[in-house]
Amino acid sequence: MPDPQHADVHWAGELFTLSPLRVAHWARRRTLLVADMHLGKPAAFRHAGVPVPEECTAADLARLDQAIQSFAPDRLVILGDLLHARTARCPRTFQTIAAWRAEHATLDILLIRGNHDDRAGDPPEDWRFRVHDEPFADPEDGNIAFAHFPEAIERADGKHVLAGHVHPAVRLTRGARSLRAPCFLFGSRAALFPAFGSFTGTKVIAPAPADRVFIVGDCVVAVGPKPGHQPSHHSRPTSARRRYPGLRPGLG
Amino acid sequence: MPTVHPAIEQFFASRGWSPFEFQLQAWQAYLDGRSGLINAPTGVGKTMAAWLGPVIERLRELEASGGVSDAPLRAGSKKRSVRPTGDGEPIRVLWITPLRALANDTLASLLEPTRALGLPWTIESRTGDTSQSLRKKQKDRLPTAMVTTPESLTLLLSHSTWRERFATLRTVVVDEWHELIGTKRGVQMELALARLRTLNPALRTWGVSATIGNLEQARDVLLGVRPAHTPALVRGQIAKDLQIHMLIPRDIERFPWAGHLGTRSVDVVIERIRAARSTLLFTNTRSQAEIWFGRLLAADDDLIGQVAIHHGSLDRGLRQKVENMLAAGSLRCVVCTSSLDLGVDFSPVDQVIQLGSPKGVARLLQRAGRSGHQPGATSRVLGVPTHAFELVEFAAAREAAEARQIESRPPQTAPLDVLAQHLVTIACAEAPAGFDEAVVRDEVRSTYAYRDLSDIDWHWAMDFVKRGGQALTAYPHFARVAPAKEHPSRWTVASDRIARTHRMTIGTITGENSLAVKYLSGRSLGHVEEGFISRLEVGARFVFAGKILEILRVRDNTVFVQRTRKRSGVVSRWDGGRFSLSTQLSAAVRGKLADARSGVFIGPEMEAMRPILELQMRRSTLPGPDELLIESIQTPDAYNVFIFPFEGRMAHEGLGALLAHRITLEAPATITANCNDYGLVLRSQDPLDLPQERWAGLLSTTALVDDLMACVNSSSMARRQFRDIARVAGLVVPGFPGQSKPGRHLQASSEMFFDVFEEFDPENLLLRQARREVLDSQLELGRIRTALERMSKQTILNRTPEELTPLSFPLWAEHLRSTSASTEKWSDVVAKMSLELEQSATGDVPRRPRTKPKKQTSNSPTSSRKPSPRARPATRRRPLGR
Repeated sequence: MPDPQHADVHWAGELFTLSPLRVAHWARRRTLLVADMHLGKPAAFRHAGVPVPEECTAADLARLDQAIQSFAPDRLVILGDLLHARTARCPRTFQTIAAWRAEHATLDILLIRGNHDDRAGDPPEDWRFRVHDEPFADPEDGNIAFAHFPEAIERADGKHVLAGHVHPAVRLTRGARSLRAPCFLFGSRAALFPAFGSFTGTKVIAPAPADRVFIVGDCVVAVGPKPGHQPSHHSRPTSARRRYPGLRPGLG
Repeated sequence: MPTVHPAIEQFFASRGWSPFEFQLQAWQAYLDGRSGLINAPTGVGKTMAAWLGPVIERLRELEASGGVSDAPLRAGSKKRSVRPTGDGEPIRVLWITPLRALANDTLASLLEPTRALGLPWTIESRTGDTSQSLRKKQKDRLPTAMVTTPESLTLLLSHSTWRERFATLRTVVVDEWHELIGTKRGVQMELALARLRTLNPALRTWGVSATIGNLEQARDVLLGVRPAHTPALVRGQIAKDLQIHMLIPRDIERFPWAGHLGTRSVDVVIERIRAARSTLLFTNTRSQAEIWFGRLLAADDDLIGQVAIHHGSLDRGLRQKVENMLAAGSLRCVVCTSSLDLGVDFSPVDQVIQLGSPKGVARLLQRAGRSGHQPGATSRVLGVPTHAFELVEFAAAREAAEARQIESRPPQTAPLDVLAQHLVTIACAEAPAGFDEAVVRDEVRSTYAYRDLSDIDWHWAMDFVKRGGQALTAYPHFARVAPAKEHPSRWTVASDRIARTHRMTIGTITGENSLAVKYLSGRSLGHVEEGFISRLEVGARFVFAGKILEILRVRDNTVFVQRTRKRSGVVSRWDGGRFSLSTQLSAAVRGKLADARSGVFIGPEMEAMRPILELQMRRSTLPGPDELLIESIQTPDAYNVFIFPFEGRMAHEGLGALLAHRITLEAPATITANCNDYGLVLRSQDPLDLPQERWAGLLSTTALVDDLMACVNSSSMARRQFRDIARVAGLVVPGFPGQSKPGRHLQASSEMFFDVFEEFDPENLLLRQARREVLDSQLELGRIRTALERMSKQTILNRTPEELTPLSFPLWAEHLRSTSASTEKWSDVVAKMSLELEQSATGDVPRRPRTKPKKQTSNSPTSSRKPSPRARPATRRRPLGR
């Protein structure tokens, strides 16, 4: 029986289950998908003299544990930005991650390098992560490719792309009330994932009418555009960057 | 007249003045070695009262040592700083000004007497605007007198050379202290003074303040808890005639019941501007100033070039230009905000017009003082109401002003964010030898703000800068302050990099991050708050500096714009302080309405309001002194319960949140509370069943703090308040225009900090401070408590009018600010949002036809689109119900 907190989405001929833990599960490939973990971001801040509690990292990994327990995947795909910065490579953070890896020793972990990974460097060998530049897919992934930047669709050989980077959120309003929530967005060829890391910001985006948007809170809920609302700039063909004003290279 | 000094007498005589009694008192007290506070109305020589004490002292010293100084002055020098040949004397006087925009004016008025008296003093300013070359010069040696801001002073105190640089300092004068006392910058000032007093225990501190209700406390805050001599309070009781007149609408029955722009009076105001040589037109918000500036020009071509705009967001150069033109008499009118409340020796104008209620007695007096700004002259102010009830407010304000019921400005108590910042400042200053914790704690406790600082809070603040928080393990590898190498028991700044970042944050105590507004050519127009610009997209248009601007791009804290003629989609609203009706004025308004209830209408304003107040009586009633009015009215959009405590917008916001919370505790519901200065409305989609007997419980003071805290926690109020705290405590590293930003990977929002602390370090005292600040300053806990206590003794008049009343209509129309309390689940709330997306990037630029400048052809009220009783959707009857 499907979990009422989850939402299923058919996209690119595949079925994905979206979880409020800010992950998605791809049942056919027994794969768990996350984006923008930004591990070690608190350490990088503390290094610069800004106090952020270390427990963030452990809490994020505990949330990932929860997702792994409920979906029992064989493979974990990280859509970029595993580590936040070079100064995130502090012994304490690394110990926490290494211990977590040891608990999930058999899990196949695939990391697509994101802009933060470029600066922070690849994870240590002994964590046994497969690390690739975007776009990348294993042979059985069919029509799906993994990336960090949604612009990777242009280099994906016509495949559909799952991407991160944007930290997308939408704003819902009703009268004077307004609510901002992180979201998944499934567009015509690219899907955007919410940032997984808890100490990360969000960027409010303007979805196109055809985009399917799922907001993430206590549960995952599908939201649609305002009926009859057609902003003029959506009617003409646009690049990904134009469509999502949040897209900016280097946005953490 | 007691002789102070012949040269001073001569100086005054040469200008046709003679010293006032309070000036003589201030000079004498200064010469006796005392510190104190000078209070006098604007424009009667406060500056001279504070400045000439040190000057006379020096003149006497020179005489004692054999004649006036022989250092010659370059005659006719037009330079702002006059440096005599050879070195000037070392630093003696620090002159603190709250606004760096005032520094140049101050400099000029300090220079005048010293030049005339031939003192060998250098007088310079030191603010964020000071040129690099002058800074470099000041690095070698500070001028004899330096005009600076609290931030720039703190910055100077963060360098290890501070002891040598300030060694000869004798006096600190804090100008416009009433502007600083209630703020965190005031606390920053107190801490800086404590530092300087450790250096020189005989330091004399003088404050200059406009009239506020708590002058003695203001003096004590400034002087600290251990003054060396009996503190002086010098009050200038110069009777300055004050006349407050009102522009009474010709057709009160058609005058709107709500709205805040008042542009329908534009023609009458133009008549008044034409009739006077010079006018200051005061508005309450910057957007109102922009709108009125546009309207004046649109309505009368003759005014082009003769009207200017002046507000705090505009570039200093532009403001300076306007000030100079006004001083030169080449302007007919300046549309301005509180940016012109302050200012030294501002040239007098013929008339002051106040647009909309001044909301406070002190503000009205301050602004009125801008006319007839010379001793003995009459101050005149013309009040222009923006909606009907402002007639009552003006009448009440005049009454309170005549009775001298002036508002107080309570000081801040022990803000931990400012303390944490100060500790790092000291650590920077005492590097590398470090500071002794006990000594600094004692110094901090010598300030009024921290006089009762507990050991627990002190240790927390020290822990915060040493290791991030109390939990020893929570913040590995963090240190802003570390043990000194040579003396491990002393504390110094952890690294040069920390010191550099810290100095960048010192200047940011002021408030919201703002972005520069510039043309592509680089010409600067001013700055706007981040919050305003973040709601706009590239291509959006807004009115600024009297021009319609289109946003080209936003980069590195700069908004690049170009001028445009297109008017569609223009946004004119941005934050600019909506004042809350003061306690004094609220009480006076209640009195006026109670009079009206018993048929007493005194004065032309109340007489003019008579038809509207009588309509209120017919549809519902007016509350007497011992009564609380509650109106329950159903409108097509909601069930409304209107409550009228008359306690001011801020207290009503808190009361609204409290009532909504208490009602929703019993049954899950969503209630939206809107408020204005007179009352609040609770709105619900479902019927609100609030019989008479429930009100005693709802309005009880039992568990008040707990309930309010629950509101604070369930809403985003504490998170919003945390923005400032995060910045002051150095969590959010600011980027500055023109400076390279700190790495993007170190950018985080205050909300993120709030969440992460709340989850992993809930005892974090910065969180506690945020909540306390929300309770005290945002919700005005004290006023809420007083209001509830008063209301509990009042008789409740529960009315159910069939249509909106003159009192309830403005509240119903108040959709802009609202607080909601909800006990519904997140998913239910989302479900009720009809799953509609706000098109945030481009679609949410609200089209606001009523703020769009529109050429008015006549004074006909029908040309206004303001919400007026006629625009009521429910019942379309004539407002007077005939």
